[in-house]
Amino acid sequence: MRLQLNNLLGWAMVIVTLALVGFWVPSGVNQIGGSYLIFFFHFPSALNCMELFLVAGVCSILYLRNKNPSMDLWAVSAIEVGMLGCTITLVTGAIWAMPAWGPSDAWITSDPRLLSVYLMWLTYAAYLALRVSMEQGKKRELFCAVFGVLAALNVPFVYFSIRIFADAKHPMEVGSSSFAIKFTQWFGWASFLVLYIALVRLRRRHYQRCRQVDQLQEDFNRARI
Amino acid sequence: MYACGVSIMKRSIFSIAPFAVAAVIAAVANPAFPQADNGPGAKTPASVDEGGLEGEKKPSGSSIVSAPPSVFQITGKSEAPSFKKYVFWAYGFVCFFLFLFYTLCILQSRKLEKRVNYLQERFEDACAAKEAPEETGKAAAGPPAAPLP
Repeated sequence: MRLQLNNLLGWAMVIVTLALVGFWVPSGVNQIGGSYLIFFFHFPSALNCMELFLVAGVCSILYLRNKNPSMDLWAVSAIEVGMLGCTITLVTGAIWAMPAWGPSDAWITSDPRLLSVYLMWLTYAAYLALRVSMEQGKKRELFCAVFGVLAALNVPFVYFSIRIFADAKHPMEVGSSSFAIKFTQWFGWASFLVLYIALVRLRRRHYQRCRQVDQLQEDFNRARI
Repeated sequence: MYACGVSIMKRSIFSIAPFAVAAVIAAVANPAFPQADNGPGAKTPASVDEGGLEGEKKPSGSSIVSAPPSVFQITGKSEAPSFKKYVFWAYGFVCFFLFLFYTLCILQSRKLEKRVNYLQERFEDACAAKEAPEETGKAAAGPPAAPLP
């Protein structure tokens, strides 16, 4: 799929999700009332950010195996967009927890899931910090690939943290018998997936151009122009 | 020079951004976060029975929530508060953040594209200019004179 089409489709699907949330799904459930509407952006961001981190882990493994610089670019692009999704998850989760759990329980340390997601966010922030603090070259790619693989090992732990810790408040799965809720939930997931793929491709193109600039500057130096 | 500037900018953004976002998350999730929606006597936003949201109908029955339900059961509008403010802020944040990231990607990509094109043109020109004097030097000397018959 062409990048522009991918972008357009992603944004269109997100707008449709917004429309479904605004006009189709029921406006209130159980005791949490209308605050559950945050779920339709919170859940897709969370699931897709974990997927992107796992993809970055796979790309890092492929880099370590084949030493293909393209895999390094895919990994960093996926991690950047995954960080975006993780930030959205954390902030929307915190906003939702305010009416649902109350402010004392909305704090990051109050729940294993919240804490583990925050730690995952910090881990990938460290990845990006490591990347910008090193000079471009094979050494940086190698370090980042190893870090990417190690950080990806944390993702399943984040997902299953609710099952591991019995006192978790965060539900493992959220379901509903309503078709409108189910459909909007998975349509939201698909729309965020398409948008995130477009963003990953955009970031990859950006890094490819960065590499081209560096290559051209090396050519200048080599030719002594 | 440009690459150096971009590199410094990237470094400063990446070193500041995690702290900035951590500060925002801390501010939003902090227990001391101001609860503008609640009435003065309210203990928590969850205890909507006691405080109630501004401009919203008070729910009937107890609605103190210790954990969000794992199964969403649809209720009428009158039975639960809408928490419109929270929903508005959450969606506003998501859309703003996505749009910001997207715009940043596009702008950075365009700048780099221009830079690549400029460098490629300059490189080709420079290569051509470097080769030209050698050729003109040869041309000025002229071909070796043909021996007279």
